[in-house]
Amino acid sequence: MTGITRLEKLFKDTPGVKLMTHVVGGFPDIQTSKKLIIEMANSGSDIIEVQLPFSDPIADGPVILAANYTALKNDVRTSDVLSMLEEVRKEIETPLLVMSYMNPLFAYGFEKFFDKMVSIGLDGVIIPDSPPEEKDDDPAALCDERDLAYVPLIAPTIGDKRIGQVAAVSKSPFVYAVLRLGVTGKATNLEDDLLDYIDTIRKLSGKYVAAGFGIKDKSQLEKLKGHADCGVIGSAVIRLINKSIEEKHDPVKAVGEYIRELTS
Amino acid sequence: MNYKKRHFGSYGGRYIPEVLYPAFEELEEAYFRLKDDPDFIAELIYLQKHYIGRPTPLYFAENLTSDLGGAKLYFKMEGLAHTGAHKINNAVGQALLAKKMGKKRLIAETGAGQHGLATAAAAAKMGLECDVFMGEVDMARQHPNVLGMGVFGARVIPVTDGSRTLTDAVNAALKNWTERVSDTHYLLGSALGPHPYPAMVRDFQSVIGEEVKKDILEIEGRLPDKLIACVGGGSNSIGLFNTFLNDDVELIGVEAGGEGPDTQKHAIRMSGNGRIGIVQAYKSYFLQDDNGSLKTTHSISAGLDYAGIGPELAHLADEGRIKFTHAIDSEVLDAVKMTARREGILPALESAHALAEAFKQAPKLSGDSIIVVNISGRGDKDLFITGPYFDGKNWKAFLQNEIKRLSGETS
Ligand SMILES: Cc1ncc(COP(=O)(O)O)c(C=O)c1O
Repeated sequence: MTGITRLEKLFKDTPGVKLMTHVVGGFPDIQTSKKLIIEMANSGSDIIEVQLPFSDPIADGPVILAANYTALKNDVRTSDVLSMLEEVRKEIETPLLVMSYMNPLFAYGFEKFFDKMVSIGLDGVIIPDSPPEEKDDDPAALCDERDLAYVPLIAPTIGDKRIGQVAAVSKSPFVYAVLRLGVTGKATNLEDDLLDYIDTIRKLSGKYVAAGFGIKDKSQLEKLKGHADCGVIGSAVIRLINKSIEEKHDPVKAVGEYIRELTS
Repeated sequence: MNYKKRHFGSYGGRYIPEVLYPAFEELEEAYFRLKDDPDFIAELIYLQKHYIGRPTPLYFAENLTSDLGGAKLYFKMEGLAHTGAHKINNAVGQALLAKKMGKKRLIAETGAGQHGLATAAAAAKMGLECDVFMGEVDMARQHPNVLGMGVFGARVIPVTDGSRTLTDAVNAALKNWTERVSDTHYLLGSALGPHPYPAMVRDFQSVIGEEVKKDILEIEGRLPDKLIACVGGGSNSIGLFNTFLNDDVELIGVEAGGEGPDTQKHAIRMSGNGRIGIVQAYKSYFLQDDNGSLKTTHSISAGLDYAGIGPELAHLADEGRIKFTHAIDSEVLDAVKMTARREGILPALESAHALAEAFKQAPKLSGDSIIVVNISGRGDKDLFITGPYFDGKNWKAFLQNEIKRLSGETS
């Protein structure tokens, strides 16, 4: 069971706010990123998104951007990340998403990439620079055909009408709500209007909602209860990895402890 | 909205993160409403005349024409525009638009600093706040423009991400816009990026070609045979070419050959090196690796040192309407020198790429053919790069003395 089916089952069967965590493939190096994913799964992450390193990640903040550059400096290729995920898939059942900007997928070939994802047993994609108007390459349709979840991104700046349109581009069981203006990695106060906003998305999209960008602690996750179906943690994990490396601790262990604490 | 308008063939488009959707809708709506508004046009024409100093001359380069012994060479003197390059045409146009939209602040990316300087000037003139994003590497090599922007009251914000050059400055400006869309206009500096920028920048730069057409008909009674322009992102070239697209005139774009096409140190995107991609929210040709990441480029001219190219140019190249070639750094320096010695004109290093190509072509043509070269900017800004080449010993001594003098003053 993979793709849309696996994700649907996760949202239906697991109670409470689920946790999605983020890894840049090849950061801090390819072997460690593999261990990180497995450790995340074993410590309680419900979904893991793995970003393909790219030179121009226009929607990411400085922390994730620097992680992209570290991976590129290590000469990590798209094919390296896919091979790593192939190994990971043999060890864990957790839903795995690929987060990528358009160009790495375009360069690889959308169909070839999605076919590869299916053969490995990966479950879906998040593409931050793929608005519904651009139909040339239509990754949403290509994913639908393969039972892969093409997870639409929804921003608080867009109107109600567009929320419905964006959510409807694919058969993904959930959408990804961006909780603050701007880019990943700065603190978010989960103010009431943001919670209202999540409720609105849930109502208008008719889908499960993962809420992300800026979450780092358990209290923030708890506030999502009754509103979002999943909280997403990105930059906070990378900051922790950077700090562990700086202090000569094992980043994998640190991330495991952090996630266990969040999900306890 | 119709698909055709956002694309040039299959290039262009608007591959933006969803947070920017309302900002782009607002900009697009405002631009297409105001561009044909008589009051807006009247104000723009006033500013072009009295602030920018338009029309810029179409100059017959008599000495070089006779030296080269072939085609007649005309120079479109965009370097005489206020702040020293064609960049001001777009900056003033968009600043006026921003003002009409009720925006209080301009942000811009800059590579060479020419676009940043133009934007800073336009912001000062219009009473808008201004932040310019510039890669640290570019700041170091284009300090005179950094200084200039500051004098105009803009804040220059160093970009320390990635390769710390123009491409990173574009990313930083886009991100900054996502954080502050309500009072800010992003004044993008070339005919690229997501729709509507390629069309809007082209429109604001098209005054270049329109003036050329009028002047050459007046002087020569006919259209030129060839138009030659350098191509960074593509704004001075499309600005020159746009009015001639349906005429029987050859259009030639010159890219930065850097240290040569066989080295990794160039910015030649169109002659087989670049591949189609979607980067920085538009589809076009990019210098990229197998994984779709942009390659670092090189050129002696910071303004051409960029891995992408405007989508309309990509389309016109595919159609065979524009031919692309390149000039390498050493040819460019020679072209600067030749133009300065023989015509008393100091072109920008960017523009000298177009001159280098014109100097190759002119001798092969008959005396009654006409070439128009766009001198997109003047070379004063490049003195710290060209100084060592023109007069290495004295230039170094001058700098050393300056440092001594300044240390003496401050110690
Ligand atoms: C004088 C001059 N010419 C040309 C360019 C290249 O840009 P574009 O291709 O947009 O004209 C620049 C860019 O900074 C410039 O300063």
